[in-house]
Amino acid sequence: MDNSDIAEVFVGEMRTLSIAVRNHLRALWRPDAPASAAEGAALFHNATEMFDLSATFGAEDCALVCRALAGAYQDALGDQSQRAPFATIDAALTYVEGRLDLIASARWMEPPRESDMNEARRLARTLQPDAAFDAVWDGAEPPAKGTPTWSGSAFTINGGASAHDEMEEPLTEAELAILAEFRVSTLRTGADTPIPTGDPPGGDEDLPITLVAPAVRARAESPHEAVVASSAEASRAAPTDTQAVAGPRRAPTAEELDVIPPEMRHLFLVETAEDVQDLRVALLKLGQRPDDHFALPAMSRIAHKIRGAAGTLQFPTYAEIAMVFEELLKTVQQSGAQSTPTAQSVLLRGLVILQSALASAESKGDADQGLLGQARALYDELRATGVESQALSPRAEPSAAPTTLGTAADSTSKLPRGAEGESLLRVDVRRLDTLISHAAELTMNRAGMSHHIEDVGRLQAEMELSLARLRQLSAQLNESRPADSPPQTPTIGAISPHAVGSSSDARLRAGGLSRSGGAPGHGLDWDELELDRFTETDDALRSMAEAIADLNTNARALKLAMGQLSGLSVAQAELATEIQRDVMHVRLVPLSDLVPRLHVEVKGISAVVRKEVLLTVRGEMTQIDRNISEALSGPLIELMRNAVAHGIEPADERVERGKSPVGSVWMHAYYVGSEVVIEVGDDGKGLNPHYLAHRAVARNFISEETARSMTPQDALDLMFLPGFTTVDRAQSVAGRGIGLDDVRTKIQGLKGSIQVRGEPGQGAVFRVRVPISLSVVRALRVRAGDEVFAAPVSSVQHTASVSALDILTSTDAVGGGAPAGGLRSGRRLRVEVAEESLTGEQQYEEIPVFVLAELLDLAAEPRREPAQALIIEAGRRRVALLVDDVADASEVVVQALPEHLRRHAVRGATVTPDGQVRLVLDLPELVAALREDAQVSGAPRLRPVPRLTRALAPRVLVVDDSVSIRRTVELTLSRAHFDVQVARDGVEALEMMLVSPPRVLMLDIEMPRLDGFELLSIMRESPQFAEVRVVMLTARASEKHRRHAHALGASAYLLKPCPQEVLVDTVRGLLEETSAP
Amino acid sequence: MPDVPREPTTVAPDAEGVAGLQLEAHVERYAEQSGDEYLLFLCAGIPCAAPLRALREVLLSTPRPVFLPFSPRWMLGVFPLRMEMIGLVDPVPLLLGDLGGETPFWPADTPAPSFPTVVSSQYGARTTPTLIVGAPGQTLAWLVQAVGDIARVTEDELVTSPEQIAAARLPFVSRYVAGIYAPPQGGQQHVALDADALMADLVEGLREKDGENG
Repeated sequence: MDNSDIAEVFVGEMRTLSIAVRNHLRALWRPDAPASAAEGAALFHNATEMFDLSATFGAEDCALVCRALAGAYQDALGDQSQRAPFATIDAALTYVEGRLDLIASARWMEPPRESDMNEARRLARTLQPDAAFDAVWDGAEPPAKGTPTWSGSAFTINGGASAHDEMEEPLTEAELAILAEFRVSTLRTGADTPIPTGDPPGGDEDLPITLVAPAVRARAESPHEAVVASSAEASRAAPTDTQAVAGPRRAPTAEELDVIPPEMRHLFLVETAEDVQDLRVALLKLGQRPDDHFALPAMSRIAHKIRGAAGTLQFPTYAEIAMVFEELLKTVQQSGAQSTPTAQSVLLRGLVILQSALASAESKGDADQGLLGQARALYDELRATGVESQALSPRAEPSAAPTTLGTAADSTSKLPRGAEGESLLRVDVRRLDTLISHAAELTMNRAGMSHHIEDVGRLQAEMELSLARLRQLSAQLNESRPADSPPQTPTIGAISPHAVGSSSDARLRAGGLSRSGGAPGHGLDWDELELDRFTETDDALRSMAEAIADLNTNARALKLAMGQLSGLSVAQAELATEIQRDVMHVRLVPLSDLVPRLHVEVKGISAVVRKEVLLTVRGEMTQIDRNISEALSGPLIELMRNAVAHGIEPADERVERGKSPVGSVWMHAYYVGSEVVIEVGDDGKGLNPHYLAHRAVARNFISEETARSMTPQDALDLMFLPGFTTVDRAQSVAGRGIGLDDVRTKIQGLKGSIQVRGEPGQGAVFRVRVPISLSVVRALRVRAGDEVFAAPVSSVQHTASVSALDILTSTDAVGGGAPAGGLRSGRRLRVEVAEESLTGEQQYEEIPVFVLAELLDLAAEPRREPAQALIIEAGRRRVALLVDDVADASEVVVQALPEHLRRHAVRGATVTPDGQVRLVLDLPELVAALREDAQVSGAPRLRPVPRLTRALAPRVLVVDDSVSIRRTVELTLSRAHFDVQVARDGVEALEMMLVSPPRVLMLDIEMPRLDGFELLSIMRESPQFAEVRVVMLTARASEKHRRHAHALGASAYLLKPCPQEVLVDTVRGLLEETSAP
Repeated sequence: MPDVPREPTTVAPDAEGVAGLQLEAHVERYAEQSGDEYLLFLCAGIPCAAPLRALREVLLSTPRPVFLPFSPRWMLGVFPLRMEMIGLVDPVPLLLGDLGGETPFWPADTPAPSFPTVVSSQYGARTTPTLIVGAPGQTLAWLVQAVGDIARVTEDELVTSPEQIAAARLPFVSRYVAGIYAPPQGGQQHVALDADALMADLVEGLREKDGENG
């Protein structure tokens, strides 16, 4: 470790602790919560660790501050009122964090300057006024012998003496207690072997110590390290003694087991999975560069770290397996046999065992004993080859496996991984999922806001209409003034807020006119009465003009504000969608994570079948959801195994065919829209569809007749049939007849598909297509009946416009509607097949046709034939689903439905940016679930499902240009449980009625654009409105209007204001009339 | 019988904050009282009561749901509520024991009872109230006609004798009836529902069964 490494480790550890301290601090000082002793204790622990680290790494100033911080809280543990002021603690932490920033930016562990020390002392005194802070080691334990310490220009392991020598004062009681409680703990080695005391004879693997404080750990793990005390008594008795007093090894007690938090074990599993991945990469590199002398030591370090952590976190069997693997590495390293195929093969197999053991540790709490046996057998095998290690045999002393904690080097493994200069952060997937949920909620909330904005927009439009009516009214008033009246008040339309003064001005002017006896320019022939009349009318008109002008101004301002708000809303909608998408994409990992394992597998299998094979990977940086990536590894490995075992010919056969003796297996990955295509291919003997068909007939999978009518692709697809195999004798690596069927099932489980193509002698290619993410999918907007759904693009082979002529009835269809692909349908769609049959004829496929709305039981009434078809493939079934409309695809985030709402044909729900909820259909599942005898007509497999609109009360359309009337009537009828719609005038009502006629129309007479009588006239001419009952609701009380309304077809005539019960009774009465037989 | 204050504690529907404060005041006010709190509401035209502990939330305005295929007819669709997709159900068919033919959504011939403190009345049916019931992951929204007061119901006020319940000739399936809330001084009686039993049947009825397509 050079200085920059040390700086990085120090800063990383310290920052983590600093964050923890701040969190505890916040919790302690939260005004709404009582001070918690637990938080105080936690703060104290963390500060102690920070002190420990700082002292260990020579950051004397930080150690001073942290020690005082810990001391302050140690003092206050029993009495929260004695806590140091928040600002003091904050200042101390800020100082430490500032120092960390400096060290991090310099990437160099600089010793503190004198000014730093002075500042640290000052801060320490503010925290603990009564303590002495002349030196960092005052009253504290000095660094142990061999502790890494600063020695001027470099960090040395054995140079800690100078700092120790300055220590004069013994530890205080409180500090001893700290040490006893937090820095040393009992062992958890799982064996009763006595612990040797004193300096160990060999390496650290012989040190059966388990310590908690990381800094102490770091010391103990140093190559020439003294053992650190393991009991509180020993610490108290000889606090400055660097020799440990070790207690006997013993099995862990239940209490000790309990103290390991489950999240720590979970974290271990996550971290070890990454470590195993690193081991794979390292082993792969070793295979490519056997002369790399750093590879094995690096791998040993990782294995050692796994072993230590596994032992500590109570995975004893896994720890032993890791130890055996570590021994394998050391044996190979010491023998210098790392370049031999035997050694590499053993290491590969050892790694596979380590990987399998991790999986069993995850599922069962620890690794299987059987795997440990395999690991030991492997070690024996290695020794049998003559490759000997001078290290202890893991078989001989398995229980003596030292379950030491991590070394100082372990800390580096906790450092962010990634390219140089790139900072990565490990995040718990559950946290990520919560973040995703919050992002989805953001989208939903924004959608709600959008609706409110729309409502305000509608009200604004209403207001403008009212304003227009006011202007019109004002103009009419002016026009209706007597001819001998004085000049008219300016019409409203001509008045601007600037042209018209305040109302008081107007009154003054009017008053002036009155007092002077005439208006300027109007002569003096007006008598007082006329002037009075003039003044009152004019004043009223002017006031109204001003009010209208004010309204005008406000309306314009409101319009402007609404425009801005709408713009912001749209921007926020886009942002919310982006956030949601980005967060979803955080889950994506590159396929390169799988590649090392594929290399390992190919290498292992090729060794077993004795073929030389080269694996080439392209597009490994293609990213895919972590869950999908993990689930894909099995199928991809199976395909690789098949390729090597069955596809690649033996070397001599290849040479005879003019091929290279080294077989080639490849994997290419690339994006297609929102999907990833992964092709796994080989240059082996290829596939012969005739042979496959022959085998299928011979094994009674299909009839000879079926075989003759099959296309080459159909014949190749036979490979995916359960139990189908072309191999007479099952091999250990492939050919058991369950592989490809299983592969297809798993890929379909990922909402993906798999196809195969190949020709004799030309190799074979399996094309796997899976979505990038199960949560973010690209989906078509599909309308079926009145409902709109999202249909993932990945499930739709293609779409087609369909006319009635394209659809064959059972009598037209070849074979009279015989089952095709297991489905029977009364109607079929003839689809041209791209390839010719095995006999060389152009092929057509007649696929069953279903109406999606019928399958989902959506079509409440007979409707026109849907015009679009979605061609769906589910397994070997292809069907056409007729829909009413298909719109462009867009990316949607799929939210799973709760368990009791899950349906086989529904993948989840999504909320569109405009706030609409849509179900995301799983069309292949829908098709797969169709029964053999499902018929197009009747959809007998479905229970009738009434829709909400059908279940709710009859719909009433209220048409009135007065917003208050509309709202009042709407409210009244809604309370009576009618489904109420509203329209502002005849035109709007007509538009709505053309979409869906209401049962009852509540109609005003006077309305802009199209009045009530005009609408009635139109309705009378239109048969589709014959069933609509019309109630006139008007202020026109004359008999003439009433008669005219009835003549035009109105069923009832109500006068405003109308009592609510009359309104409701009238509507109910009309509905009863229409529903009566 | 204890002297339970009978003044209605109307929850202000127009301001959640105000409603929250009033609810809080209500809780404090009744904290010392015995008995359980019940939400009074109208369902199938019949005054009902459900224990507050069984309810998560009351939505005064029900979002429009989207159709969920392969569901029983009393399942009206799903809608998003915060981070969860909620199923909106009409409990009336189950309550009435009519799971077969076409039951009217609202029984047309059911007389509307007196319901003096109907919070949702001023919003009308477009904001049909909904009771959110059940634990997260198993939540359903019950569509009801109107939501009223919260009442503290003592043991004395809750008639649970099977004979008395049978004598009341309630239209509901007996399995869903926990008792009859008969307030003192002859106030409006309410059917106290066994929310857990109803919820269990609703959830079970919604599950897609193996071998059954809908």
